[in-house]
Amino acid sequence: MKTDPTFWILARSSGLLAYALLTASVLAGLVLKARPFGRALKPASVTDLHRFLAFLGLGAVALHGLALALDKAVPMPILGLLVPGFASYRPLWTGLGVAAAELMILVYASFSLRRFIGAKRWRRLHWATYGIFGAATVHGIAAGSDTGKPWVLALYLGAIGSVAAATAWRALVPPTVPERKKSDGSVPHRDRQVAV
Amino acid sequence: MTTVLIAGAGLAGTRCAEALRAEGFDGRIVLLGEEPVEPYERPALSKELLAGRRRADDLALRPPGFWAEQGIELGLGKRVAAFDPVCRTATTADGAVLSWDALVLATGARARRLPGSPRLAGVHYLRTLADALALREKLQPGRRLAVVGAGFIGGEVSSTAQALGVDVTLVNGGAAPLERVLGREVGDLLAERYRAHGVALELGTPVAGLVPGRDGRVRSVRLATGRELRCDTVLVAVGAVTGEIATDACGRTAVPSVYACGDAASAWRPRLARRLRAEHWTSAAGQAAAVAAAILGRSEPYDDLPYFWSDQFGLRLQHVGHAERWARVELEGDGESFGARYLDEDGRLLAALTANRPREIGPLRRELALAA
Amino acid sequence: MARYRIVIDRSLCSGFGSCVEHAPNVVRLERGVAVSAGETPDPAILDAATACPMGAIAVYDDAAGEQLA
Repeated sequence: MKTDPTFWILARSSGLLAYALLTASVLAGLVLKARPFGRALKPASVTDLHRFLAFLGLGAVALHGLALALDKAVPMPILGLLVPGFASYRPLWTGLGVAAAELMILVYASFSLRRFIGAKRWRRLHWATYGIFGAATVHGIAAGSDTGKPWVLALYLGAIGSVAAATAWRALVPPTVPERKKSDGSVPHRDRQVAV
Repeated sequence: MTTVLIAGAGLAGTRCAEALRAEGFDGRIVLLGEEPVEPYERPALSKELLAGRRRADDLALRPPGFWAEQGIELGLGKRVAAFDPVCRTATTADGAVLSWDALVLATGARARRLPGSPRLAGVHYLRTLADALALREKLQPGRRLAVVGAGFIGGEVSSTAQALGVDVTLVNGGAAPLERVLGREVGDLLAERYRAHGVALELGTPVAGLVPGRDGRVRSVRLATGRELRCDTVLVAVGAVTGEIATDACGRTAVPSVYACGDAASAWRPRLARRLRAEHWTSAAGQAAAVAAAILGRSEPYDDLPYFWSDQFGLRLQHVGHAERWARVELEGDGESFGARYLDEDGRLLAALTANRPREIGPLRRELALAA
Repeated sequence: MARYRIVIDRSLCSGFGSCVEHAPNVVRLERGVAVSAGETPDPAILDAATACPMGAIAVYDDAAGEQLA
């Protein structure tokens, strides 16, 4: 019996696309403080790009899941997409993908919820992005069907390498001016809104 | 009740008063200013105010009711003429005597007069708001202004006046504008830019005197070479004079309970291992905060990297660090946008200047902080 | 070239500190959040505002009219 490969192909391509977008978003996030394009691009614009790439990545992930659910070649019940480990196809590696996707949704949503969770907790949660990236990478390599192809391997290696390099670079940037006691000598006044 | 008397209601004096209140000081704060105007932003005098872009009341450092709200007794037009550190009293020019527990000398500076010059009509100095308003009257298209001294005031006024259509001639004893602070290389670059904007320059020629006309107004500036520059207005901008009161990094003078900050003070800077009188906004504000802390018994020395800015002829100049002598200047860029690094013999960065390169100041600060 | 009024959106500030690097005499980090003096004539604040990755700093010309966000 011939099965229509459309959704299977869509699943694979959207998966790789999602991975590429995730990587791009992570890289944008790592370099945005350092003005990667000099005067041409404001850091705030890079932040917008970072969030947009994350959003597109989420879209691709959704497409990836949908395609997998609709595909008849490999059985994928809804719960398999929602509960890590539930899927019957390579449960561990697929499960990592599910976990990565859900964490990604959480991290993305956390920005809008900063008012409730506070900036400090939001920053700490953001570190989970490394977990997302790692899990997505392993999921792609281990559960993906195209890992054997040289260009796909190059994609994974390139992604890991660039994220590692950007992380190292960001870690080596000298620390900002440490918290000081006084600023303009004009200590924010008790009455003024800006006062702490 | 503890009384803090602050002599001088400029940036330093007012910031000190504000900091005291912000830090919870509940005693009496008496803030006396010599000028009969609400405390104002002095840097704007040579720029927006002179150009007519801002009005005098726009320059107020704080809204009119602010001082009363904070319980700060602001006395305008009151100069502290003398003080007695033993009795802890101070006398104002109009004879009033005040007692104090802490005295802050934030008396600023005066414009240096041109030696040997008679008082002539048409000769201006620029230090106070009154000076600036008087000078503004003279800046009409076609008037001839001679500016003596190519320092920051000279440069900024020349820039403002030229933009208003005034015929400007800038006279400087040194070979290049701002040579002493920024070096010959940058000075030459600036000179080119001044000329390109239509300012006539007389460099390397000290002024011998001011020549009066028959009506008692100034007629020309006589240079040391004998040449005379005809003009109808002269601005003398040859520096500022202060008492240079020595203080430690927290603004304490040698006399207990007497402090100093702002242009009047020559404060110890740990980072530079020397005393420095910095005529800059950030130093005045920072020292004022240190004095307030010291009065309240806390030691919070002010040791920031000296920093200042100047706007002239379409150049936003920003300078970080301090260098009075340097071995080498690395200049890069052109008249429109440049950067200069001032290095010692070992190649260590002492100070840096940028012109229309605001993004570089952050990284330069970091570099200077590490180089120290 | 004018006096600048500074408004910091504390909900956007994430403590990067880029602003402090450019204008340490105007902005500082207090418990990880940027606090400013409220106003300054120092043009460095414009660059500090541009440098903020979160766009948390708005600088207004005192005579009204937004310069930067």
